[in-house]
Amino acid sequence: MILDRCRRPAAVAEVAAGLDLPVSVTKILLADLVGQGLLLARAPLTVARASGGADMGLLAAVRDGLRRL
Amino acid sequence: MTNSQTAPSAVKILIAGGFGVGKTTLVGAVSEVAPLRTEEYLTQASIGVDSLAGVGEKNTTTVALDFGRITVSPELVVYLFGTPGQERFWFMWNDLVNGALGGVVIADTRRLETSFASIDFFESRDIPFVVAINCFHGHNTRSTEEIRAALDLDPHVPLLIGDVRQRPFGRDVLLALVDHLMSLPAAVG
Repeated sequence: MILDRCRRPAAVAEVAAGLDLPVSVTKILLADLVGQGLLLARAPLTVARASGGADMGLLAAVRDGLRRL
Repeated sequence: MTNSQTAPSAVKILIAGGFGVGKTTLVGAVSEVAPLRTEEYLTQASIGVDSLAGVGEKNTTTVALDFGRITVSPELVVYLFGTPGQERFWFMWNDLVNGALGGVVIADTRRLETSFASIDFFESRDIPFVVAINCFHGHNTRSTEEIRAALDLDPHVPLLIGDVRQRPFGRDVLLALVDHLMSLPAAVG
């Protein structure tokens, strides 16, 4: 069920909402699947100002996308 | 199986503010999906009042997190997280702010004080944010200057006034945040 939801990249929160499980429980289930090599987890983008902030290309892409809303 | 090379980038924007100021409403106004809700258990051992029992009883409460999604392009997805309004749940934010682009603080002019803590939160963590004054109740008798002074807002922090139920206003708020981010000098690290 989780694997089905993760055929396309998804946020942990989305998976949790889809399964109707708390985020902490979902994380444990996901970690098991990652451990078995069935899922890939990716850390959030590093956009903190301390590490130089988001790059301008990314911000411009977000801005252009929002303008189409 | 996903491949990290082809997976879209995801960015997070946090929507904060006091209880009932319209966080979920804003998320819903701009999200391409109805706001999703997930819950987190908080377990706290409490000291039993009955000393004969001698064991703490477990109390479990849940705290809800509402979020939405905007697919900007096949390569880029923006997630909006409405953060828990109740102050005592703010430790949860530490997980959320990891990797967040920035924040939006929603405030209601009739009770600005309920959004003070959200502003402090972003300021103390050096997370860029904008302030959106929600006027869906139709009462806004205060000027921008009065609101800025009441919130003790830095002059460079953008402040917008509008109705968070309206998608164009939600979009403008998010655009103001992105413009604000682009205007910031890159931290020298």
